[in-house]
Amino acid sequence: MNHLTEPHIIDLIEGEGSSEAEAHLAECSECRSEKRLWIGRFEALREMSRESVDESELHRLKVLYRQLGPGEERFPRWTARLVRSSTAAPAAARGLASGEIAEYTAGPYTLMLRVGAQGSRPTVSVIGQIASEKQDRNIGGTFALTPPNGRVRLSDVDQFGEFNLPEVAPGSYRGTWWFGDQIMVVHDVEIGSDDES
Amino acid sequence: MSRHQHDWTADREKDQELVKACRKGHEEAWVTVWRRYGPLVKSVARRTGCDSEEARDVLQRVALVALQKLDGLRDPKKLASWLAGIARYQSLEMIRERRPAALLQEDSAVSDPRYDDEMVRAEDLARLRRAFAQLEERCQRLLHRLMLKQPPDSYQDVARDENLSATSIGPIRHRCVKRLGKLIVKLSRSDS
Repeated sequence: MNHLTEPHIIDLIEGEGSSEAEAHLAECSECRSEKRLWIGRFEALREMSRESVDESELHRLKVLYRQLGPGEERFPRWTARLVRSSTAAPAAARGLASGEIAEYTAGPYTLMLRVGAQGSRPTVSVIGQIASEKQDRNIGGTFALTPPNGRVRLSDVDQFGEFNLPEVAPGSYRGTWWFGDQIMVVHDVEIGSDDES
Repeated sequence: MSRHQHDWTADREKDQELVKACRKGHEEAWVTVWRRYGPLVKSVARRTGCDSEEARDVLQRVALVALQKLDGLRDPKKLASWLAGIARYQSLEMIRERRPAALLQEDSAVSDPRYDDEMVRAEDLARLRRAFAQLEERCQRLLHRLMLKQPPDSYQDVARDENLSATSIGPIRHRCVKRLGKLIVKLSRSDS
């Protein structure tokens, strides 16, 4: 028996099959199975074509790989220095809590980190802003908050230098800003908990 | 691109070669993995019950787990189903963290019997996606417009845009589907 070819099966799926093809399908379980397979394939392709990965997502994943992956170590161009914190010692040792701000400088850039309100879970959001001496409106890249162990948090930095990292657990982090091929590192970003204040 | 520089963006690269390259520090191979399987990961997340924003977060979580455990992937040919499995787990974790009540619903994705076939499905999808990507561009456009778009475009619209006669669209579509079928078979054989 000659089975139906793929184009004939697609015609049947589209309701354009010949009467001979319809008759064969009624008699042939293999061809019916092949028809179901092709229906499934096109449904799956439709489903996947609805999803996409945009360039900003790919950039974040690239940064993740640079942070944690194998490959040559990249050295930062700037290491940020803390110049001001709204948290006075000794409270500073517990880390920034909700509403508190830390300001850093790194080369021609300043970085402000502010901790948002704690939610119902013991996590906070960390809101940042990077500004350049030149009042550059073309900031961008990705900011990563990396704990010694556990999940790296990544955020796009918009053209105004702003970024937002939700659901950050209390702890010690290294902050890294990747902008093109340039890197700024902020060591010892301490995020505290409102419960400790 | 120089003669000696490998183009990891070529869709013909097999998954096992991509995994090897990622393990050696080739950043472009890593990006190719996510261009290729990022939509699959998001598709799994959505099927598990995540919304579009959560699916983006799942993608990032899956990438982190994949990076941390890539050396432990015993069969790199199974990259697609491995990533789909991680995506399924991370999606459920996310829903558990953000909307725990959703997991108690009777029709939740957790109880979906299709989950048992998710890994197999992921491999089929990956092969299908690669086969589609290896079609010539005109075939990809035609099949997308006539069969994947909802609602599909008419033969007249496609013929006009492709500078073809409307009567030629049907036979061209046939050739493209036949070619897709052959590519699927070829990839199935080379994957096994």
